[in-house]
Amino acid sequence: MSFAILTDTTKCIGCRECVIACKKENNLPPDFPRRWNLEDGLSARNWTSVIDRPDGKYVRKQCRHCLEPACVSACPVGALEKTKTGAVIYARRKCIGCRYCMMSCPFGIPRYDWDQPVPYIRKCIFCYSRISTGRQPACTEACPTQATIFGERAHLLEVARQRLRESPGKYLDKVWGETEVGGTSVLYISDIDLSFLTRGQELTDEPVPERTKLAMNAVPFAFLGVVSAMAAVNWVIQRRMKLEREPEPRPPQEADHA
Amino acid sequence: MFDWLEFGRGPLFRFAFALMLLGLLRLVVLAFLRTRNNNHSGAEAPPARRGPTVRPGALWTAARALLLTVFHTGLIALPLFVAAHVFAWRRAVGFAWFALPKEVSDWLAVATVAAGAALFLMSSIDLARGVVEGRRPIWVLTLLVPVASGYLAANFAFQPESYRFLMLLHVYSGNFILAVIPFTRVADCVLEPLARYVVRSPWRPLAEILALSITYRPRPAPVSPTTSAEEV
Amino acid sequence: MHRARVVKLILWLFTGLALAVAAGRFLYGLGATTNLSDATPWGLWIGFDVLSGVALAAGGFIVTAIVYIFRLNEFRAVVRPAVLTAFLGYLAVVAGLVFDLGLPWNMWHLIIYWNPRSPLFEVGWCVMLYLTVLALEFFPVPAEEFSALARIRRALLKIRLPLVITGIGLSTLHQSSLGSLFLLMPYHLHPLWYSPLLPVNFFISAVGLGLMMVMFESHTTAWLYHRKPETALLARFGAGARWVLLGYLTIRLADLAWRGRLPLLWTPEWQTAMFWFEIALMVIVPVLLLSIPAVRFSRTGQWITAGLAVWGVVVNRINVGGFMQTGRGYYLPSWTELAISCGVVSMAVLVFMFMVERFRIWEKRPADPATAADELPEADRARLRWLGPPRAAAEAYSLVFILAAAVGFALLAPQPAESRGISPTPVRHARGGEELRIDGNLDGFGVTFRHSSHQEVAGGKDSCVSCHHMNLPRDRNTACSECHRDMYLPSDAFRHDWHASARGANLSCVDCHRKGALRSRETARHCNDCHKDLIPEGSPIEVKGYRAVGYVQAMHQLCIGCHANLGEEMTRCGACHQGLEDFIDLPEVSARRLERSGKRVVLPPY
Repeated sequence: MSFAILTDTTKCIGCRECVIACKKENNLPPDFPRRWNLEDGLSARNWTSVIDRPDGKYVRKQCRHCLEPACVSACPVGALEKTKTGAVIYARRKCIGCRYCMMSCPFGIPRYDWDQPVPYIRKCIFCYSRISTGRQPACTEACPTQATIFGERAHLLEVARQRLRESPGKYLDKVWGETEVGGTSVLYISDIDLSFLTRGQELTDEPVPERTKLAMNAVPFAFLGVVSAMAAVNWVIQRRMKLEREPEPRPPQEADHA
Repeated sequence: MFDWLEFGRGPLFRFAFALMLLGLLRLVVLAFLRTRNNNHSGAEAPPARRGPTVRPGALWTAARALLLTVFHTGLIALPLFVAAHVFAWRRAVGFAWFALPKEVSDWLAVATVAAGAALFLMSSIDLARGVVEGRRPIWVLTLLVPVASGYLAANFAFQPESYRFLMLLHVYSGNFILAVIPFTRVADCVLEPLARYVVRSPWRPLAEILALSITYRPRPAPVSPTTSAEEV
Repeated sequence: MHRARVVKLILWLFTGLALAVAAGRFLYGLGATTNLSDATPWGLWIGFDVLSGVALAAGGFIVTAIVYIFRLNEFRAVVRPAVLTAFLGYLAVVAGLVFDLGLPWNMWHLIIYWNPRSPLFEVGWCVMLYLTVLALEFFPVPAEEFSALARIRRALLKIRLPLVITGIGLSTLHQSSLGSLFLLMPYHLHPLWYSPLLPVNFFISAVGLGLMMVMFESHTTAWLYHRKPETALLARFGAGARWVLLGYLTIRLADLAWRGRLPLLWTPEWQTAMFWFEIALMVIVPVLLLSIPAVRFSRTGQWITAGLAVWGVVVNRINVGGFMQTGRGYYLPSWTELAISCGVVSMAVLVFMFMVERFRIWEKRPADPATAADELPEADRARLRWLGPPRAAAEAYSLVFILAAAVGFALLAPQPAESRGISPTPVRHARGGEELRIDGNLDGFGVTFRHSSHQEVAGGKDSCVSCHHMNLPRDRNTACSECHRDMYLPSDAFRHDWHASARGANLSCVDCHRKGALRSRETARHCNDCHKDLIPEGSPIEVKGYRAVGYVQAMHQLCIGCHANLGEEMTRCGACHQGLEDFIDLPEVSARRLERSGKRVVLPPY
């Protein structure tokens, strides 16, 4: 059962109830403007934010919980995990702090405890403990206008399409998150272009982890290939040298290489 | 002036303090290297202390021992445990510890200054001849500058400008002392125990302090690591 | 030896500085000691220490392949230094990682928690294994000097061929998989650098640059120790490296053409300039220089060419590793990052110098001025006493080291955790005047700070000291949040003191809180009970609790921002929350306030 969140930006009134609920639910300390913060409002202490667009619209930003997350395939110790519920969760006890997940995320979501001597990765975890016990995330529960709602992904896609059908012209004809980078668990319908939620480039539908698949699959073959090629070359050259030096045989393995 | 004061309590203090710690550590490491390389550590044993050249009276000795104890206690305890310094430490290193009550630290400061001055006078008087001589350890008085200025700043009302001047004096003289410790005889506080450890000579701290207080007089040529290195 | 002494003095200086910065990095965290941010999580330490370190250590596997696999015995002279360089290079990589990783003490997790899909997992394992292989390959050299180790040495020499082959395999893998790392960043890395062929590019450039590094190292040490460099031998390396580098350039350009990115090469962007700079430094200039026989066979020519190429690959790896990103923000390393990088390299070079002076890395060990002064060239013998005998040198090194470290400690900010990312304005002589406009988070929405009204609340003329006092650094004023504790909290807009005074001091608590119950939000009456028209008719807002936003959001970004745009009326809550202001502006409340403060107080737009 894969859950999802659908955010309808036309319904958002920018009240930040979701932000406050998130901070309460996850016991996040108060945030200050810091050098390393981005202007999108997300930080190690804000896992969701509401962006004021210049045109007076509000857009909520949070982890997209990709169906094939780049961060999960990036993490060398498997600290990030895509669960069956749809949530991408983080096991801090495994983390080594390489920040590869931050580099690989197409949406630039994971944030870091830059001010801590013992830092961890911080991002929305889809209120994993809540959704795995049958409750909804704190943010969707707090939303006063139902602008952001929780449900099964298939169902929410239906809802989104229905809204697009029912009021043509109100929305751009696209469900954001349906197919980009293989689809995400956080979906948006909107009357404005939401490409500012990424790192700035147009996203394709190819899941990011696919891009290393070829290189990673080649690893064992490359290793065996190189090693056997080297062994073969060595054997051939050794033999040829031996044949050349037949009159005065000398063991090829000398003791010193100086 | 204010910027100078901030510089003195901020970067300059960190510089001086780090230099003191690392400098002492360096002396220890160099001393170990030297004993290991030379392999004749016995030859470098500190010269055995002979008895005092002029045997002073018991009262003189006792006074000297007492003054030295007070002086050293003050010099060590005041920078660490005066309340204002404890705040400064918290600012500098992020954690702090207990502080002395104001009365205690004030009295200790007065006692330290008095003891320092008295020691200077006592060492200036050649017992044999009973006169004050010319060249004497004037450095002892330098040690008293931060103590005295700190006491004044903490206890009397000043115009802001003169207060800042006093603080400037306090901070800069304190920093100076910290920074030069590894390069002067004060470094003996680390090297002396070390030398004893290396040559396995017995060390009974109390008795030593007493002996030291009895024989305390400026050595003709201080054995500092730099000079001994140049001899080679 | 004179040169070596001076160089060592400088290296110890960098090491000392790095010591202080290292302490700062582990005490205060990465944010305080680097310019890394959420926009650029990787920077110089990845680009220089890790990527460049690994690339420049490539000489080890290439030279071992040439000598032990292809059996070109004339290259034996450069095997030992190349393997030593590779070994120290990898140690430096690990040291760099210790600084860069957020939780370096968890590095061993790579061994027990596996994620074989991750390129970084593969890189980590290759580094671990190859470092072991290099240690085993190099160990016989120092072991020569100790007869007790003779058996181990013989055993290691017996398995040298398999070791070399394994080392070549591992190197191939992870020189290329360092490139694979960046395949996961199609939306992060600049398109001039991002390519599906990154692993291939990384491998080929590592081969070319490994050869150049051997050349560079040979000439540098020759200069340092008045040694005769293997110029003729190295010229053959140069000839080979030329073709490798040309191949590299061809592949890169072909790849750009194939993906249709060639027009990017002429876009007037600084990234384009960096691309050309990198290519010129790494490929074009070295290839041109190496094609001239007079340069290729000359000592200086080789040295300069190799130096350029080495810097070229460093620039390339730094570009890929963090500088050339798309999107917002740019990154320049801080001096602390540079200090750590310099310190790590200096450490490695110092170890290298120790090894060549102590063990037989070259056929002839460099002369020791203390024991063999007459082996030195004339120029240096005259200046032998520049730093005195070895012991005086040790004292000079350690003095420089501690001085540099102390300067480092002085330069480090003591409490970066306190900084809010915006340097505080020192307040002196109330320069700002009676009214200050404060925009703490620099978002364009400010609040007005009125000195007189604060003075009034804080207790009259003498109250300046409650905010301005001398115990804060630089006489900084007390932060707003010191008094307005809930400023950064999502908090109540509800003011207890106002309500208490309106309802009649202490007795008023039970007006709202149930008698006898714990006085908390849950036991209080709903705002709606008094403010009857709090929620306007048809409002989209469902009131669920009592909470409103905190001051900062209210004043700096949220309500005021829009409400001001919507017209003068909207800046007052009462415009929507009808009845709210009437209730507060009850005549008796105003009268009491008038009585208490002696003048009519204008209520803030609540």
